[in-house]
Amino acid sequence: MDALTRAAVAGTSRETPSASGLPTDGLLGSAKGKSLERNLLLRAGMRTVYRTAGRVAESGIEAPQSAPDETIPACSAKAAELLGRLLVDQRTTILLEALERLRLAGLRLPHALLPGALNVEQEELRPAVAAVLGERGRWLARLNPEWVWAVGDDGDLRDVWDEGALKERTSMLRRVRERDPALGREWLSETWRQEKADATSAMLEAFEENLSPEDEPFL
Amino acid sequence: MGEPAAEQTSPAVVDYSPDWPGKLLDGIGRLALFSKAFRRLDVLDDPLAESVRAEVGISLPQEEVLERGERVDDSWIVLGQRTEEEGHLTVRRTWLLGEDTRRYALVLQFTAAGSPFAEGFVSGMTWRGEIAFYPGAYPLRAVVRARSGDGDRFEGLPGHETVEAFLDHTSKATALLPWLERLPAALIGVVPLLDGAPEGGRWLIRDRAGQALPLAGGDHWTLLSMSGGRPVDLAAEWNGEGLIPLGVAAAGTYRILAQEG
Repeated sequence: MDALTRAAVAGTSRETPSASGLPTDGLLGSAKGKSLERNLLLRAGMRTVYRTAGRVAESGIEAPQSAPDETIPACSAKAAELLGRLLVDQRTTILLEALERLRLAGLRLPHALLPGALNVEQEELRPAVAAVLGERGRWLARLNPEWVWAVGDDGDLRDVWDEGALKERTSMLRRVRERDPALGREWLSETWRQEKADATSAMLEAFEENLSPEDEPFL
Repeated sequence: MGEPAAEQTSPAVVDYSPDWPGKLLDGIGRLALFSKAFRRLDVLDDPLAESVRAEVGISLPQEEVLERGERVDDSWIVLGQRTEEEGHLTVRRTWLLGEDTRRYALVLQFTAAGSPFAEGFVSGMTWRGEIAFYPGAYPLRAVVRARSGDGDRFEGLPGHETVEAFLDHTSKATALLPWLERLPAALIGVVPLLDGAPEGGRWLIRDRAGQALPLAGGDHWTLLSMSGGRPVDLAAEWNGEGLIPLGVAAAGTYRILAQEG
């Protein structure tokens, strides 16, 4: 907490508000005839305006990896509108049919609908959604651990395991353990020595999926 | 606009963020500055005095604005809208951007909760027309004098080319009118991104020069999906801390972005 805020919280009788140390202090003029409280508030007000006006951009943020180009076209705007409504309503049967028709027509979902499609709650819809995600959908799914089901085949999963952030990697490991516990064990044992301490404990939790005596030597 | 620093001094600030005492103090500090300005109304420049009067809630009748407000004729792009309930009133902010003048404008509409607004605006469309600005130190609020239809979809957002140019603009606006709570932002060629995992990660936009600003107002998956890691044109509200998206132009289409989760 900075000095001004401390004085404001503690009360001016306990802590005399100091100058904020900014060029705005000079604007206050003579403190004569003004209460300590009023001075404090005016200082705080000038400081916040000063900061707002002097806001600078952040740097050092890396550009994200961009999605690969799409290989098939999106459905028409009209179809997109219909699908968008079906996704909101989550009407399973009709949605299943619509997604299937999209796939048969060689089309994919438009980009704006992808988050809604990836958020479908019914598991039975997932294969139909996965088939019409396009490159963008698979790219997007890698960024949210809740969407790992849509990431694709083992090769894609392996990419996330190799390059993802901790959270992505642990959810990926869990998913692999569900399908193929031995493969999950193999992945982790390969990288075990390079993992950081907080990462290893998070990853070991994934072993509760299909835990068996075969895991014992490794654990 | 309309209620100075009200948002920062509302009880909602308390307990919400780790630095709520600091934020609360910022808000009260702005109020203190504002009350000082109000008491010295007679020595302020006319435009600033008009702004202070408007902030305190003494707004000019629309007829007077239409009569003596600065008039600007342009093709106005409807960047987007935000609707909020304030007590028994519904308040709608519509943000406009002039294609030729590159002037931003704000149309405020009020209605009793539930009833429709008198005039409609379609986000992502342009219309030719003349608007009149409320007089002030940084004129932003405006009323529509004359307009022709809902017009066409616009081609390209005439916004700021870099984050730096945008911050320069906000800095000038703040210097003219320190009580501005939110400003519109049209940014060209920015890449939205999620830095870190969805939980605890940060949403940002990054321009070609690598300068970044935070996004605010929840998740931004639709924006991220529309961009796919490539530059898009973004319309947003800037609240001094972050950009709250209004709409995005990507691959030739404009899409309104509602606030997500």
